[in-house]
Amino acid sequence: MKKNSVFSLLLLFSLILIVLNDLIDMRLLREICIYPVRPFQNASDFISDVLSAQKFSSEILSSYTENSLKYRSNEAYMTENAELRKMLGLLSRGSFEMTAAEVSGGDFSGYTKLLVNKGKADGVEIQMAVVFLNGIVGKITDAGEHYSEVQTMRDINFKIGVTDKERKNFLIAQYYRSGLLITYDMSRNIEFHTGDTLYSSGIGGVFPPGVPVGTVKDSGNSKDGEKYFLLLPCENLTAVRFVFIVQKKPDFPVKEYMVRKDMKKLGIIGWYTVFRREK
Amino acid sequence: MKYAVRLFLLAAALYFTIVNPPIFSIRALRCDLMIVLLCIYTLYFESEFVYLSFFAAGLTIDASGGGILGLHSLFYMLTIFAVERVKKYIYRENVNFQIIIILLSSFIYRVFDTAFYFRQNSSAGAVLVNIILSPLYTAFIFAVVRILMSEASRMRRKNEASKQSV
Repeated sequence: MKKNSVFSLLLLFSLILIVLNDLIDMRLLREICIYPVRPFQNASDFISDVLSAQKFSSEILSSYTENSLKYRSNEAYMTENAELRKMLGLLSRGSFEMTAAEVSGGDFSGYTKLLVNKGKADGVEIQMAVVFLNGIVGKITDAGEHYSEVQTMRDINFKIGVTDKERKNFLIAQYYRSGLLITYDMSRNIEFHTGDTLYSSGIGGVFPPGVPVGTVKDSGNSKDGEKYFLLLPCENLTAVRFVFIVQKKPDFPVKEYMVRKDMKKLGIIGWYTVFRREK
Repeated sequence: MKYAVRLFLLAAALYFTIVNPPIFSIRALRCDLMIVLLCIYTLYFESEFVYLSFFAAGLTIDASGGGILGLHSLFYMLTIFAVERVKKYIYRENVNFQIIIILLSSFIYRVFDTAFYFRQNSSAGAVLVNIILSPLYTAFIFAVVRILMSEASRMRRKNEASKQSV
């Protein structure tokens, strides 16, 4: 009899608690219930944290060792590369100063604008190029003291000068739709194949030369008879969490890429510097 | 003293259950130590103590897991009640009966757990592991512990008998 009454009472109490769960604030009762086991729970959490930290540190150590080996071999390659470039009379394209920045906001629906956490205080200025590991991300269109706004390749006003690997053909790529860029071949004699990568030309004075912009996805002829190429951007904007802002050098990039002995500077029109060949 | 030992065992099982991941569990395979203890306590000890202690334990599990407060208590109360009714018709010392009761209780508990706490996007495989394999694993762990304990007591009795004969 007694045990039946205990059972009934506790069953009723359980049912009342279940019913009242959403009706009244149960935080205090929860705190009281969990109080006796909390120290043990904390101890177990601490032990699992320590174990996972040990595992993590060993992984970091092995990764560090591997990376330092890679770094040393890369250093050797860099030295060799610099010597070869010197021999060939080429200019180094990896010598830009870059500022790392974290993407702190922006238009995450269309990815047309990104906000980064570096601004004028860090030497960032308008019209500086923004790149990441795979290629061009965009350019700075507004710079505050501690933030900057990046116009990405998905912005409708975005334009960039592109060229092929051999720097034979120079074109202008612009926003097309759904994350693609389009470039028109006015001369109609350029042959790019699907999968070819186009690089920034550096002529506009905004983007450093030789940075991957996109790969040729498709080509065709417009209604006006112009040949066009559709480019798939190399950098996936939806996955970018960090970027590098390319710090401009004085006279960049004209000094490095455009001035030749047989050219004479005539003047500046808009963004462009006009030269004339002497001969 | 006897209550202290029982409560200590209950507290240990409770601790093993609420830590994440639960001790004795292998990935999604769970060992329901609380169910094992509940069945054994109900079979051997007085009901009032079992009802009260498991009611409090159920509340603690709900509070620590962030679930609906009182749901585990309700389940434990009903399970204790059912085992109470069944124990009149079985020979409780028989390990096979104990295993069957634990298996059934654990199966019902896993169905209840799946119904209330499993995420909607869980795969059919994960649900099957939770409902079918976890009760089997629980019964297996209990059987292993039970066999080890009976072997240990048999050895102890043998030693005592040899000492007395000497």
